[in-house]
Amino acid sequence: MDVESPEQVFLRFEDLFNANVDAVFNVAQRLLWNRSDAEDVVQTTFLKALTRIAQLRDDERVRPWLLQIAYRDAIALLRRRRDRPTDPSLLPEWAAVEPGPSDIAIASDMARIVTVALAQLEESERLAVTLRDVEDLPMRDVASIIGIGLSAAKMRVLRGRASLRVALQEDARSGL
Amino acid sequence: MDCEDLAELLTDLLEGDVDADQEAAALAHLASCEACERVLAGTRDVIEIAHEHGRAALEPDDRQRMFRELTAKIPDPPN
Repeated sequence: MDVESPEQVFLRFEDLFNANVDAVFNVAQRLLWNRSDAEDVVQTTFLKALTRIAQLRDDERVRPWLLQIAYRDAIALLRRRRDRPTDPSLLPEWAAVEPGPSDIAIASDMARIVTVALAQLEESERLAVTLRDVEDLPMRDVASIIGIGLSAAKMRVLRGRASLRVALQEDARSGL
Repeated sequence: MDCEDLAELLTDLLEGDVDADQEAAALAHLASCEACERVLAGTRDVIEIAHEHGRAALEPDDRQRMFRELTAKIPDPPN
């Protein structure tokens, strides 16, 4: 394999960042419910990726690898900052920084409704649904990232989907 | 196949991770069980809604700022 120049490595790192930052941020945010903390996880995840950039060439494997780092960093951060709630009470902060001018009203409303519903899920179920359904990762990668068996991952996704369905129905009934 | 069997098979069914016999049995049960058919359809809806609207979004400006902040933490050019 040809040795890459520093400039080539930097460009590849930039591509890797642009292709994966949304997914990494999403997983961190859905665990931490705090934008500043989620951005910290993005930084630590990609700094670790840079140290392994020479090995990160299989695009299909890169995202699960990054998300596993992000998941572990987010869980470690949660443990260090247990005083920070992981409940929907932080949603006003989220809502205040998220809306963009390009969002159409109904999309923003749906995103807000789904976020409120996701926040009602138990943490492990929310993570499983986020990885499988939001990020569309194969079930085997969901299991690998969380560090559980395939059957256990399927069960968490199943329970998470059922909980999300109930939460969305309750949101609809409450007129959110 | 009964409702309990279908519930156990639901994730595999949605994953396409069932053999032909399981799929045929599930489809036969679904054709005769409105409750299970509603659960399957509702779960498919939830998956679609989560996929379409479940991401905590970043704006382009956020991505650019975060990349600038990230590269500022790199002491030397990568090699």
